[in-house]
Amino acid sequence: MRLNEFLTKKIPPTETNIYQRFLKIIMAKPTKTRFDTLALHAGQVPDPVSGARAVPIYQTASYVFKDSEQAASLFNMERPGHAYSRLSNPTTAVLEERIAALEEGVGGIATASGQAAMHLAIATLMNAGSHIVASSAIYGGSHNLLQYTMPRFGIETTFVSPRDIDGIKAAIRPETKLIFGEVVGNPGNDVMNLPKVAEIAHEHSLPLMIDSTFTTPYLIQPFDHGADIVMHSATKFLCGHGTVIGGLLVDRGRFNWQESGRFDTLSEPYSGFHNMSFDEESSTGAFLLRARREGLRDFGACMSPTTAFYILQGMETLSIRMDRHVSNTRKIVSFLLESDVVESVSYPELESHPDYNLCKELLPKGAGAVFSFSLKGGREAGRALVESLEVFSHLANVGDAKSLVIHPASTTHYRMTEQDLLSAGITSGTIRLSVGLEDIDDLLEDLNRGLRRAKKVTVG
Amino acid sequence: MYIEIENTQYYAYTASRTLDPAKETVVFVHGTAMDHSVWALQSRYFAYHNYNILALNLPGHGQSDGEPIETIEGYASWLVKILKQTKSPCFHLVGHSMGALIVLEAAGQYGDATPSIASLSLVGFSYPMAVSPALLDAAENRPSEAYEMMTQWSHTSSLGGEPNPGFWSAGGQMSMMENSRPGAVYTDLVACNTYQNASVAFESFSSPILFISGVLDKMAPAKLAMVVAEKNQSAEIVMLPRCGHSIMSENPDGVRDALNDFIHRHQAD
Repeated sequence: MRLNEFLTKKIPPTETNIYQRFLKIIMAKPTKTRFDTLALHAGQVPDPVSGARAVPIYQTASYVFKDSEQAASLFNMERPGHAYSRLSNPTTAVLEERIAALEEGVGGIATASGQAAMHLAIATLMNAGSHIVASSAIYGGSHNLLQYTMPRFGIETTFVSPRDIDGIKAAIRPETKLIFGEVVGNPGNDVMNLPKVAEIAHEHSLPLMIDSTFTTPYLIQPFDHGADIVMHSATKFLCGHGTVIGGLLVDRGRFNWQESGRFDTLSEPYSGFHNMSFDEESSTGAFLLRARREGLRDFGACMSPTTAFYILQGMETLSIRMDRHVSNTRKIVSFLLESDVVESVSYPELESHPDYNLCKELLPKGAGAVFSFSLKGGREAGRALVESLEVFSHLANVGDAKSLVIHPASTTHYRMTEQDLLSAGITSGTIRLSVGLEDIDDLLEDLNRGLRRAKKVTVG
Repeated sequence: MYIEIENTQYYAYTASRTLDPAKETVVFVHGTAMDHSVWALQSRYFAYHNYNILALNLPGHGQSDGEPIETIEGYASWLVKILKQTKSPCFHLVGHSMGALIVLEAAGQYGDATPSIASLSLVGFSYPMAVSPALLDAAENRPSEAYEMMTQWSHTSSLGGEPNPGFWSAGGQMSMMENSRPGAVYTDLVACNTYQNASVAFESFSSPILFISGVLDKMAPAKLAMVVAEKNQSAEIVMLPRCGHSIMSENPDGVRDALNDFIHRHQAD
């Protein structure tokens, strides 16, 4: 007897005997729905009105209330639903549920950008006077926010090398509210020791937030290694096609905000929302509730439904794309290692990389598709290489299906002295690649052309 | 708020509202290895619609101190103590799964005492609430596996699409169970599996009863609730389509509307 037949057919129930049969036969160990299936389906039921298989774009700012009572109860969180698209939208909600499913969290929040996601997390967790311990090897935009902008609002950050575990511990203060880092950092591809950093964080009753933009849930699920909150710039590999800007936050639902005693934004009554204590409202969803009910409501950095649609389209092929990104990257890394123009290659899968063993442990499917290498000829060689490439696009982004290249010393870090570049882990000849999905032979031929040009500039 | 009984603190969610002794009180009781959060999309509604609410954390669950209790009768005795020290014109008891067994047994123990139990709502109920040997074994020896099994059996679809924007219900259930105290899941499942006093309990009070079941409930099949319901002439039955044991998150409006209608019709005179 099939399960649904047992549950729904009008078979005269003889109470326990049927139930016992049911327990023995049907309730075998269930199989868990796998990553690729979730990437295609999680969070969506086919549209009940039209039957549309694809996720419809609900391009609407607001939603008609059935009556005043329903309107009031929607705004007061007495019933689920949508009231205004700054707070939630049916298309965006599918994306939020899908990323939560892929990361194995309790829920997610989509934001206007990765930067907005990071700001939303900080604004949800802390007030003026709070402090963050952050990895020094993080995305430049995150560094700007923490180093220059948040201090204007009274939130200070201490930056510590992700490899300096003792330094991370020593940087924690009584007012610290968050430890933050990236799975694979910038620009030296430093791999953060998530289990060790999580252990330190939890010893101090602090949450660990991890930016997993470069790795995506396909290469690593940071929650499995102790992280409490995961953020993504969905602009990059999740969307995968360089078409939209978006960010995502996912909560694991395991951090005990009340027991920590450090998070009055989550454990004290909030007069801005009916004196709600968010950690009383939900034992697993307090962070997400406040982030939505205050952060999206008041700061307003929400994601548009059309953007959510593009990111969902990208996520449907995430695993296939990431495998190809990684495969192409490995071949390019090998190719560069053979070149007499290349001084060094920094990729954590190389034995020469300081995080080689950690990478093998945390990232068995691959260390991603963004890495850097240095040319012997310095600034001029770098410029020559970048300008001679045809398939690689010279721009400031990563995680596109198309291969991308940038020479920091002549672009993003142009104003820096050689000494400043070195302290940022960059040499004048450093080139950063984001390897795309093109035919590997075309990518290798393109790079070969660029390296020849760089060599010509170097040796004259 | 916290309620103290015999020097132990027990937590009850009240939607941040102070209890008004003049208002009727809806008492929500959660199931195995869960906490009050499972009622988030029902309890808050009643708190803002002229009722007190007490969405309890059972002993040894959520923010409550104490230890999980090994029998439904033991949990019910604890619940009766909670009722006896709460000032209210009457109580409406609502329980889900193991919580349904607890409120049933508590109603039996409480009988027709005053203030009265004006109504009893059994959500995701079956009797017997037998637990599969595979699940009991996992709960005792490999709790993470038991959480996975219960989460998957509780949801109609493994793909989600629940109505509460931004939340992944299966992940929420997993995290809630992972947050539970060591041993709680096994203790609770044993309590469900060994409970045999429902028939006596049903005979011991006269409050009206509502059964709410998900048609596709695999943990507590609706047809077993119906067998019991049909023996109770005063019982009302609400069968909600396209949802399973995780009925409060899969069909929050259906559960809330059914409870609201029933409780409203059975207010104290």
